[in-house]
Amino acid sequence: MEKNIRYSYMSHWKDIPYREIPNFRDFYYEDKTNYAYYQSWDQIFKYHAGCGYEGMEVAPWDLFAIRTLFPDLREFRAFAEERGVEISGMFHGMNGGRFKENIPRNVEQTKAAVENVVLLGGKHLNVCPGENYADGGLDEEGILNTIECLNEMGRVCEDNGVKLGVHNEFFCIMNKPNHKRIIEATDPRYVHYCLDTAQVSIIGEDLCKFYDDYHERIVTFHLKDTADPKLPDEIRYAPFPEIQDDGHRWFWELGFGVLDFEGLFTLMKKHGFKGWATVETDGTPDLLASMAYTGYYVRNVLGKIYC
Amino acid sequence: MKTAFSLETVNTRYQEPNRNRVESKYYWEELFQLVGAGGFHAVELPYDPGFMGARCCFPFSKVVMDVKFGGVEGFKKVLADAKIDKIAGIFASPRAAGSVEQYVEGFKRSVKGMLGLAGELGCDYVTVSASPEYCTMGALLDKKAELLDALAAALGELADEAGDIKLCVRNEFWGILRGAGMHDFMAKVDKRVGYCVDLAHIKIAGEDPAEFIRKAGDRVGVVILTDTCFEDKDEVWKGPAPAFPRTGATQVFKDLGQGSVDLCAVFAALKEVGFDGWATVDNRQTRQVSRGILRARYALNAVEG
Amino acid sequence: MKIAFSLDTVNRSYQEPNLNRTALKFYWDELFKLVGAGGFDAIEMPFSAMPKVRSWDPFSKAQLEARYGGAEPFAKQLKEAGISKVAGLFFTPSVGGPFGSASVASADGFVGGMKNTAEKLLAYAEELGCEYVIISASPEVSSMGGLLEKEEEVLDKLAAAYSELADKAGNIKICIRNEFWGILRGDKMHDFMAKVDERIGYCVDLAHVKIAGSDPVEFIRRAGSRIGCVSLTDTCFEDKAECWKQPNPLFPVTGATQIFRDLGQGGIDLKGVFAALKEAGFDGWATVSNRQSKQVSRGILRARYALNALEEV
Repeated sequence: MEKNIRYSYMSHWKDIPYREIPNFRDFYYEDKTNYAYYQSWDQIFKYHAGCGYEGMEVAPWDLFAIRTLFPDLREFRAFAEERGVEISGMFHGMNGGRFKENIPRNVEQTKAAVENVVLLGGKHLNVCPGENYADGGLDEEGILNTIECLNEMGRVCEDNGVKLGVHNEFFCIMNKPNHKRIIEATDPRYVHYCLDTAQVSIIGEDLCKFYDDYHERIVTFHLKDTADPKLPDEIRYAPFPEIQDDGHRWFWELGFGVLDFEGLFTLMKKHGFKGWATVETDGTPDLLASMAYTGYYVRNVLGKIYC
Repeated sequence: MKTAFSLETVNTRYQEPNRNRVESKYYWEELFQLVGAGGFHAVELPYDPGFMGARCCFPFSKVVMDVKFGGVEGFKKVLADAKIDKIAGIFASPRAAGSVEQYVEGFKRSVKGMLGLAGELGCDYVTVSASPEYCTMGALLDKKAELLDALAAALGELADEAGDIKLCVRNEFWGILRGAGMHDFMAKVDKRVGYCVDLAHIKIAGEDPAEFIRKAGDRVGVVILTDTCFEDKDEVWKGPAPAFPRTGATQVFKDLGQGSVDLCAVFAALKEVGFDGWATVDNRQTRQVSRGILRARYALNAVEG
Repeated sequence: MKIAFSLDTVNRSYQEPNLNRTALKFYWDELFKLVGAGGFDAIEMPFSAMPKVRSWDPFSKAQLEARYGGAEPFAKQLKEAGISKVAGLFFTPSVGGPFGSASVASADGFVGGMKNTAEKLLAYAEELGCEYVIISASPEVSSMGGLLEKEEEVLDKLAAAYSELADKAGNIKICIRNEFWGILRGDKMHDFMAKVDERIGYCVDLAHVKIAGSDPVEFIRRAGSRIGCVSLTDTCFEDKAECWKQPNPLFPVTGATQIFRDLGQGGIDLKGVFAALKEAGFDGWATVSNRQSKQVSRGILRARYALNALEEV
């Protein structure tokens, strides 16, 4: 039976310093800890595949270290595919798109990013409107410029066979007072939406209703859980709230938080979602354990509803 | 000689289990206590003004100190509460860029920023790498002589601005002044500028650290107590990511005392040249920060004993 | 007062990343150096009557001989790591032995088994030059089965057995530890100690006392001159659901938590404890026990930090 959902896993591996470690046993013996198990892309991709993930989504800040090992990104793609993993897409930041003068620069940056996504064989460019809310909210002009900027960026993506997905962050400038308007006012031919289940819930939206309302625009997901839905504005709009001083985690593995994923998957079935869904576990101390755990959850819990 | 401990020991870049903790403030607050409990009452900081802004709590820039610690004074108070009464020094490595002029300008701009922060922090030294990794330097390598002359001149100018802060140059094993190549360069540089003698880098580049110290003599500005077992038989230093040899995965930099650097000989040489500055333990690439602190304390106790 | 560091900080039973290392020689060789580098020049060790044959821990005589060449080479190795003393050993008796059954246990069987192991403990302690041994008053109550109905008989027999052991202990101080899950938890210990030979001392284990609902400072005052040794443990755990009665009370089924925290990380008033110990004229061993530590090296430094802070006070 053909599957509707292909699961990808967000790369939060930070820099990986080796392609492969042919001398793995010797390397392990140097310190005899699990450190050695997390140092090569060969291992990382096999972990993805072993946990049932067909894809990996990368982030632009990964590329410098990746290029140190794979100067041609097509080589990185081939290396991943040999191990059963495709690159599903890449994250991206819109920088200052609320100001008219920054739109051309964002378009140029999008061209460069899309070129990388194409080299990697990806299908998605998930775009976070960059600045923190604490940097100043969006005024009317800022909203209109953001819409224009996203449309221009989306056109570049579409021309190259890549889907631009707007991605909310609970602390960023595109937020509760304006994000629905921006989604609705952007051109649906070019601008799509990547539903980050935790971010949208922390902002204060009801996850299932949001998906039901905007399912036609939603082309992909960042699936993650949270124990802090509807977080008060004063926390979200404070400077730099993403990394908490005391180590409090906003994001949890699916099932470790309080979100209604069974409800969401029932709606995904109703609307016939097809495509990549990226499972994300920002903040985990152990990406491999989180990957194995969520792999179980999407197959054995959510997969019974829709797969 | 005074002993400090470098916070470069914290891995802020590469994957490892539990890496996420280093992003939060609580990790650093406790780290300072652990460093102090290990008997180190001075620290060295990497200088990284741009990295991740203040989203993470790496206290390597003014912006993070301002946002997360209430400014330099707030940061120093957190350290003092953990029994760390001194930020001995800061260090950074320049990146390769464009022409010789562009590179040297960037170098000067970066060092000026370091000197400004070092002044506010009350540091005694600032260390700057002579160059980034060899393999990233591209066309600059064809103009090495010109580049070194310009760097020497720039260091002289920067020494004018350094005041009481000792400006030191580090010669990594992957850089253009690796090993004994440093001595000719230093002969051309303003005498106020000191050597940063990084033991492991010197050894990997094929030199004997104790002999290197004797040659540097009274120009030793700071010593970085690093350790290694790595022998660069395949000239890894010329390739990309030389700290992670692609010819065979290995931990190039070991915790102090775990490698083959002869610390007793190093300390004897330092005594011989009358060095009375900072010797900073740098457990870069450590696999466990706390164990590394204790390992370094054990190694220093053994040498002192 | 003299300070030691307990090797029960090493997890040898429960899953955690890198657990495999603790079975190997290199781990222990380095651990001693790390403990010494942390400023601790004496250690305490758990005692295993049954050696863990697939491990390099030095917790049994058989292991010590097989792995370290005996007490003398072991002492030399410790010395090189900056550790000059094995201050003490401890063990917890079980009901009916490791392969026994609580349902058929008798008071005589339990106490006899305890005595038998304690004699081996004393012999091992003497060989290592220890100054104290700790014996737990009982295992977990949930494992005691029918013995709980004979508590009075068990305690009388235990008291008598301790006296006999004291005769054999020589210069080694025998101390009784009252775990929060045992039959002498909290203040129940005092009545028992009143009946026991004066040569037997309290092992005041701060976290155990606190979890059982007693105030460690007050407990120390009541124990007074009979304190034989102190285990410097810390905790934030409040046993609201009476987990002490459940099997495996170290891992509360009512909510997973780390019961024993590294020293300084819990809610024990260390300043008050040290003042009370001074008041009681205690000059024996106070041993840091970071049991359940999540990182041994960090725990050594945390304990050193906590002790340094006290010294300043």
